[in-house]
Amino acid sequence: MPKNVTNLLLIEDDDVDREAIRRLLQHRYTIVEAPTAQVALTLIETMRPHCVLLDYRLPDIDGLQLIPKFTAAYIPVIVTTGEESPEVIVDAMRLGAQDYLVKSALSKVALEHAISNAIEKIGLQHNVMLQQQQLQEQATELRRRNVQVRRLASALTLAEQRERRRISQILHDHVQQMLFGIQMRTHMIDLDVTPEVHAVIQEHLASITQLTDDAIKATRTLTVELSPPVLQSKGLVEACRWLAEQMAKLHNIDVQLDIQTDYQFASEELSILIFQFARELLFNVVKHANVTEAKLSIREEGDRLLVSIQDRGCGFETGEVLQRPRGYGIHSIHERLELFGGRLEVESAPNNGTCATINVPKTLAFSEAE
Amino acid sequence: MMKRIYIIDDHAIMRQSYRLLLRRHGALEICGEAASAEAALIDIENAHPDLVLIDMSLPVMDGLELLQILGKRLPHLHVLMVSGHNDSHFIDGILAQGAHGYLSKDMAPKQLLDAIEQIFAGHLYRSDTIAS
Repeated sequence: MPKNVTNLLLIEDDDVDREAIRRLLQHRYTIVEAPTAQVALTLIETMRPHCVLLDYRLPDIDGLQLIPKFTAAYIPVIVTTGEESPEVIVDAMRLGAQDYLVKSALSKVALEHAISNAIEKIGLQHNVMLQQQQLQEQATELRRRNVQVRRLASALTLAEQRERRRISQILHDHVQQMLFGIQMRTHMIDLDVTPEVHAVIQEHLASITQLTDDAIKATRTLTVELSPPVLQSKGLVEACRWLAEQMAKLHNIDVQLDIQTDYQFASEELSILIFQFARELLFNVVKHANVTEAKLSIREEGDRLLVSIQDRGCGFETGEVLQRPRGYGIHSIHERLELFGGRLEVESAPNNGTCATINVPKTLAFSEAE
Repeated sequence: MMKRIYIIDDHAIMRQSYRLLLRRHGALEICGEAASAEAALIDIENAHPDLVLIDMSLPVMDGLELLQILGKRLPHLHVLMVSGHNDSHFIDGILAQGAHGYLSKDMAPKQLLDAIEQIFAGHLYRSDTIAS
C-alpha cells in the first residue's frame, strides 16, 4: 500500500448512499465498506482506518453506539444523517463524533474538507492526550524526587547534629579529661619542686598552667556550642532555661521565660537543631534589636510545639529581610525546619519589635524512623 | 583521726590525679574508688568512707542519681560533686539534693583540699567558674 494513502471505513447500510459516497471519494481514498455494525466491528480488528464515515441508522444496532469504540482509539468519526435531526447530532457530538454531514447536501468538497479536518483534529487531541500523560508522569516523578530530596536533606541535617554531639562528647570525655590531668600534674610540680628549682622553672609552669586553663576553656566552649550537655541530659526545655541564663551572663540580655510544657522530642538530634535555632534567634535579638530584654516561650498547640523569641526592639520590614537569601539566617532556619514539616513564622515591623516562632510537629514528617 | 575518701570518676586519669593530690594531705586517706555509679554501689558501704567525691557525668547512672541513692543509704556520708561541664547553674539544685559541695574540675588542683576541709568543718562548698 502506498504511503500516503488515507483509509476510510464507510459504515452505511443503504446500497445507494454507499455507492454515492464511494463515487465521491474513491479517487483519493482507499475505502472499506461495512453495511452493518457487525461487519464494522470485525473490520476494526483487521484494519486501522484513518477516518470513519458512519450512518447512525443501521439494521443491527444503533450506529451512535459505535462512536466511542473508534474515538477511544483516536479514530475520527463523521456521522452522516438522513435528515437534520438536532437531537441525533447533539448525541453524536457528545459521544465524540468529530463532525456530521447531511446526506442530502453531500459534495466532494464538503466530504474531503470534513475528513481532513477530522483527521487533523483527532491528531491534535491525541497529541494533547500524550503530552498530558507525559506531564502527569513528570509531575509524579518530580513529586517522588522532591520527597527523596527532602528525606535526604533531613537525614543529612540529623546526621550533622549527631556528628556535632559525637565531637562534643569526644571533647568532653577525652580531651578535657586529659587537660584536667595535665593541669593537676602541673600543680603538683609547682608544689613539689624545691625553691631553687622553682625559681628556674616558675615561668614555664605558669605558662603551662595558663595554656592548660585556656585549652580547658576552649574545649568547654566548643563542647557547649556543638551540643550543650544540658540538652543531652535534660532535654530541650531545660536547655532553653540554661540558654536564657547564658544569654544573661554573656550577652547582658534579660531573657524572660514563659514555659508551658515539658515536651521532649524522641529525637535528640532534632532537639539540638531546634535549640540551635532558638539560640540563633536570640543572637539576632542581641545583634539587631537593640534591646536588653527578650522573651522565650515554649508551648504546645495541638500536635505542634511552638518556640517563640520575642523582643520589643527596632523590628524590620519582614518582606525585605525574608527575601534576602541570608537575611538574619532566618531564611536558612525556615528552609531547614521545612524538612521536618516545620516552619518559622516571623512577625515584625519597624519600631514595633519582632516575634519569631519555630513551629514544628511533635510527630515528624520525616523522622529517623522512616 | 584520718578521714576516709572514696572517689568515683569514670576517667582513670582523673582518679589518679585525685589520689596524688589527696595523698599530700596528712589527714586524708583513700578508702576506695570506682569508675561508675554501679560499681560504687557494690562496695562503698564496706569501704566506710567519710566523704565521697562524685563526678557529675558518669556513663550509665549519672552523678545526681547516685547522690540521691547514697543520700538514702548513707545519710551521714559527706558528698562533694565534681563537674567537668560548667554546671554552675545547677549548684543550688545539687546542694538542695543533699550534696555538701560542688567543685568545677578545672578548679580541683587549687581548691579540692580546701573544699574537703570546709565540708568536714560543716560548711557547704561551692566553686563557681564562668565558662564562656
